[in-house]
Formats: sequence, C-alpha cells, structure tokens
Amino acid sequence: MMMEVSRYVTIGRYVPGDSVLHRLDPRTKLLTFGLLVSTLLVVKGYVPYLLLLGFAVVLLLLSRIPVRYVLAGLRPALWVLAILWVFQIIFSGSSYPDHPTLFRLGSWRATWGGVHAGALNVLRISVLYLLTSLLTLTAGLVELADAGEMLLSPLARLGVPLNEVALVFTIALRFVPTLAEELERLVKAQISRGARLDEGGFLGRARRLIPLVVPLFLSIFDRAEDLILAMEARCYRGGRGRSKAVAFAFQPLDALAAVVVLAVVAAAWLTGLMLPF
Amino acid sequence: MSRALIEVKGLFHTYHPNTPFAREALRGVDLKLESGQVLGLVGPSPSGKSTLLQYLNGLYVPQPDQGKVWVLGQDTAAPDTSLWEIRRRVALLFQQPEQQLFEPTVLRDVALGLRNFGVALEDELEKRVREALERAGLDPERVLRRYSRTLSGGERRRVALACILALEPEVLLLDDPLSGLDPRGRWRLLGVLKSLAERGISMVIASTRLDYLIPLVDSLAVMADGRILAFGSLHEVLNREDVLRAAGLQLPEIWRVQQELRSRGLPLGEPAADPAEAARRIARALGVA
Amino acid sequence: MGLNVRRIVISGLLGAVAILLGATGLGFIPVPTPAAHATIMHVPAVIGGVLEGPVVGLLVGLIFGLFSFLRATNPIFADPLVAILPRLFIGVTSAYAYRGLRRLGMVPGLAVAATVGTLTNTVLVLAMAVLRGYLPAPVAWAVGFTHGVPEIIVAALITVAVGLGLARMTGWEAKDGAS
Ligand SMILES: Nc1ncnc2c1ncn2[C@@H]1O[C@H](COP(=O)(O)OP(=O)(O)OP(=O)(O)O)[C@@H](O)[C@H]1O
Ligand SMILES: [Mg+2]
Repeated sequence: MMMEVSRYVTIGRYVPGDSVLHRLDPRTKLLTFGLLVSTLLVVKGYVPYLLLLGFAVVLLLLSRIPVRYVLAGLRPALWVLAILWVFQIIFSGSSYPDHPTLFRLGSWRATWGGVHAGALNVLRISVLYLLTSLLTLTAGLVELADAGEMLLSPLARLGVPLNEVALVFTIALRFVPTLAEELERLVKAQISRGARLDEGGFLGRARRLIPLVVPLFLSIFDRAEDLILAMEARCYRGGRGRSKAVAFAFQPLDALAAVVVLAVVAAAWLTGLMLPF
Repeated sequence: MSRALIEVKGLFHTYHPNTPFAREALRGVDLKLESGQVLGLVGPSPSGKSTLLQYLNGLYVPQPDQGKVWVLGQDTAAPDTSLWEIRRRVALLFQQPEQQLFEPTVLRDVALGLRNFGVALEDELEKRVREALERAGLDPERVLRRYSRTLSGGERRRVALACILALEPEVLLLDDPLSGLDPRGRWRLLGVLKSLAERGISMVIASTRLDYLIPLVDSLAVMADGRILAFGSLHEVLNREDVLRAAGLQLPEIWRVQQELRSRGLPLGEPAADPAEAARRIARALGVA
Repeated sequence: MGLNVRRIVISGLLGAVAILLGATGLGFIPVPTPAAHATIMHVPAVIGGVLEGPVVGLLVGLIFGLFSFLRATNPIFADPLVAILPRLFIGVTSAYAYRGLRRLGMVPGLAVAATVGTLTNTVLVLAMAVLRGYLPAPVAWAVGFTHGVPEIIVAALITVAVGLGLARMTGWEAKDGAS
C-alpha cells in the first residue's frame, strides 16, 4: 500500500559526487546535453548513433556513478523497446512497399526496412535515455533550472517573461515535498475512515482516487492565496534583481568539455551525412 | 483473551529507514489502556505522539522485530487481524483534522465513514449523521448541507469529531484535539470531550500541554524523544517534577500555586485543576469558608 | 494575459501537483492494456488552463512535459519531441474549450474542457510517436482507444469536482471573467 508517501519524494535523482562531470558548470552540462540531444534528434544512422552511444558510455564511466544503478533504471525500458521494435517490424509493410517480404502476419507484412528503422530507434532512445540519466544524476534540478534561466537570459530582452517562468519552476520544485506531506495525510485519513484504496478494478480505483486528488487540488488554491499575499507584501513585481543563491563560474574544464562535445557532435553529423548507414 | 483494551510493548518506529532521511520516532514504547480509562499522552513537539496513535489505529503495524501492539486483544501484526475492523472500533481523530474533510457537504463527509464501514443502512444514514453532529456539539440543521470549507476552524474540527463519533467506536484516539483553536472553540470542544469521558468511553488524548489534558484524563503518560518517561495515574505523574522537567513540560499555574501552598504547610489535598474548585479548597484550608 | 503574481504562484503549485502525481505513482491508474496504466498527470494542466487561462495551462504543461522527459517511465518519452512538445498544448486547448463552452453551464463546460485537454494529450503524444517512427499507426490507434477513454472519464470527473469545490469555496466563476 502506498501509504508512506515519502515526504522526501525524490524528484531529481541527483547523486552527489566530485567526478569530472559533477564539477562542470551546470550551464556547460545543460548546453552540451542540449547539443547532444538535438544531434540525436536530427542525425540518423548506425555509425553516428554508435559513436554517440560510445561517448555516453565513456561519460558514464567518468561520472563514477555505479553502472549497475543506471542500468537498473534502463532494464524495464528495454522490454518496452523490444516490444516496440517487434511492432515496427510487423507493421512496416506500408512504409516500405518495395522492400521484399520477411514474413506475413495476417494482412501485415514485415520487411527489412522495418528491422533497420526499428533498430535505429532503439539505439537512439537508448542513447537519449543514457544522456538524460547522466544529466539528472550529476546535476540537481534547482541547479539546472538556474542554469537554464541564465542561458536563456537573452530571450528576456525580447520580452519573454523569463524570470517569471523561472520563478514558476522554483515554486513547483519547492512545493513538491509540502504537497507530498499533504497527500500522505489525506491517504491516511481515508484509510482510517474505512476506505480500501488498493482494492477494486479500474473504475473502483478511479473513484477512490477522487477524494484524494480533489482535496489536494483545492488545498493548493488555499495555499496560493497565502503565497500571493506574502509575495505581494514583499513587493514582488517580476524578476528584476532576483539574485542567484550560487554564482556559477566557467573553468578551464568547461572549455575542454565544450571542445570534446563539439568534436563528437561534428563527427556524428559528418558520418551521418556522408556514410550510407 | 482478557487483555487490556490496548497494549503496546517495546515499540520502535523509524521513518524512511535506510535512507539519509532516517528518523527514529519511537524507541521502545510500553503502554496500556484499560477499559473506561481516559489516558493523556503528553510530550513536547515532536516526541512521537502522533506516530504512536497511528499504531493504535492500525495505520502502522510493527515490523516483526520492532515490538508488539495489541488492540482489542488482537495483535495488529497478525495476518488474520482485520485492521479495517480495528479502525472502526478504535477511531482516530487526526491532528488538525479540519484539513481532512474531503466531501462537498458536511452530511456526506460524516456519512463517508458510515458508508465505508457499512455500519448504517442508506436510509438511516442521515439520522445517524445528525446524532453524531449533535454529540459533537453542532446544530445539525445549520451545518448539515453546508460545504465544510465554509465553516469556522472550530466547527470544522467538531465536524471531524462527528465523523468518527458516527462510527460509535469503543475507543477514541484524539491527536492534539484542543490545539490551534481560539479560546471559545477550545472551551466548546472541551465540553464535548468531557461529556464523552463521563459516558465512560475509553480515550487516548495526545497533547503538548498539560493544562489541556488535566481536566480530561485520569492517567497520564509522559513522552519525550520517542520514549515513555513516566506512566501512571494523573496525580502520581504530576508529582514527578523530575520527569516533567526532563520532558520540558510546564504545570498549569493554578496547579503550581496549590503545590507551593502545600509545601508551605497549608493542609491542601491533591491539587485541583478547576480554578473554582481550587479556590474553594484553598479557602477551606485557610478557614475562611 | 501577462504573468502576474497570481498566475506565477498557481502555475508553480499546479506544476508541483503534476510532478507529485508522477513521482508517487498516484497519477497512474492500472488499466488492462500493454502500457499497463492510464495517466492523470495531465489534469493539473487542464485545471490550470480552465481556471487561470492558457498561459497558466501552458506553463503547467511545460513542467509536466519536462518531468516526463527527465523521468521517462516509458522509453519513447526519452525523446523530448514526444515528451515535452505535445504537453504544451493541453492547458491551452482546455482553456479555449472552456471559454467557448461555459455558456452551456459550468459542469458541462468543465467536462468538455477536460475531454478536449485529455484528447490533446493523447492524440498529440501518439501522433508524435508515429511521426518519429516509434509507433506504427495501427498500434497507436489501439493505444489511443484503450487509454483515451478511461483517461477522459477520470480527467472529467476530477476537473468537474475541483471546479465545483472551488465555486463553493471561493465563489470562482461567480466573479470570474477576468482571465
Ligand atoms: N510522515 C512522516 N514522515 C517522516 N517523518 C515523520 C513523519 N511523521 C513524523 N515524522 C518524524 O517523526 C518524529 C515524531 O513525529 P510525531 O509526529 O510522531 O511527533 P508528535 O509528538 O506528534 O509531534 P507534534 O507535537 O509536533 O505533533 C518527528 O521527528 C517527525 O519529524
Ligand atoms: Mg503530532
């Protein structure tokens, strides 16, 4: 039973450490992550994907986070990936009308084209998953939010309310534990008054969810009133002059990281464009 | 089995064990509640009172090596014990229960437990709800169809009390029922609780303050840091100044005045909690009444 | 339409609810399909859109999307185009649906807005998954039906209950019109 809604619900998965990856400026982490991810989204091919996979594995080793810990998170995903691959093979006939038939399943036709496209997808998602894990394991969410705000700051000059959006993120992260406590109280109160939360089929469960979720929503509107008053009392008028708790500073290490990542990305682009596979 | 209503032996509890956030809340608690008894559980914040009450309500169940809890003669950790049944018969009023009213109207909120536990037929629900509201000191006509969030804090707390009174439990567990109310709300709720105690309902009442408990309880357990420092009749425990000091608890002024007078030789019996009663006794002792 | 203090605070708190629903598993309701659960994680975005307008709906959707990207439960959400992009629209379509339909009354308006918001989520996520080549179209259709229907029902129930509760509690809608 999910009664112990932890009041320490872990939203990030940050594992403190002092590896090379940990020591990078959060802005570097975010920028290089963005570069690698967008490359993966655009470039296609076995060679660039394997190159990026290799690079991700090197980063994983550099991070000194137990490999087993990261792979444990990947294992359930692998099953889903395998099923998706099978689907992509079985249903590939219409996408590759001129490919020879591998086998038929009812009116569906499996082709080599499907096998390849599926394999590329599995590779791409695995690398994306690894990179995302590496980012969230080596950087805290608050840190990343701050870094994101600083990197995007030129947008503020174009009228994007960046500080306000950053504040929205800060409030969201800050209030997760508080709301978790609230939820735990609601769950306990329900059970104490005879509710059987973990029994029943879909509709039964859905119905029992409502007396938990609805008061949770209503309580945030209570909370909102207090918070709004508090912020207005402190004359909050948008983000001007909000100071960062930590000052970030680029180190030589960050430059090195940027150069390496740029090289890898360039290699991926080139091999993706030049090689036929 | 002829056990006490509630018995706790060597109970330990750690929140979030084996994580960086691990926190020991109970460290070897022994406790007993006899039938008809009103037991006060007093201790500073936090000393583990709420955690303990949640064990008595079957919300938590001891791990095999973390102690034993018997409620109504049943070992709560035994596989054939129905915790669901225990929760009706030994009902818990949570700390700040006014935040846990879920339903759109007071009627439906009080009826929720009745429905869940199946203790009332659908057509007698409203009658049972009205009775419970009256016993909780509320006017059913006025509040029955109201949305609970539109009531005052004190009223909401009494609605929450009605929610559990409606179940006609054999034991009431009240977690800090009087704190956070304005004096009037506190005074009214105190009256309700006194009348329940007079009817012989067994209760465990937790509080951080002795002055809230003294008018209600006949025995007292002092908690600090997850341990029970003293357990006995009200007067016994109140005379253990060492324990009260260790737990950082303060006796009510009226009580201290009587103790001081007694230690200066005035022939007073055990101190009285009620100011009028105390004045009467002092006057009698001084020979002016 | 700007981001005043009220909208900032409510977006943040609703975003926290979206994260909480995902982090505790409470947002997932088991259904007998391959993906094994329907989700209500999009409901905060719907509620944000309906109550406070499209900007709040968009921000809550962004938080939901980022969270499902960073904590991908299903591998296809490791692709930000599937995880984040579709979520931006949930609260926006709900907001306009509610505005357009509130003449019908609060309850039908809320129910339809929740339906529109849920469909936005289901359809856009699946369409993106098909476009990116992760899901063959026939499979997407099947998933859409088996998940879409229960998700719509639960989302509508919750949204209506929250709207009615707020109306009683704060007189929302009675004094509305500002957003
Ligand atoms: N749900 C929970 N999750 C994690 N830790 C908890 C939880 N509830 C209580 N604790 C911790 O356990 C300890 C005992 O708490 P408990 O609530 O039992 O004390 P209490 O005597 O009721 O305090 P108070 O007088 O403030 O109500 C505290 O240190 C508290 O932080
Ligand atoms: Mg307590």
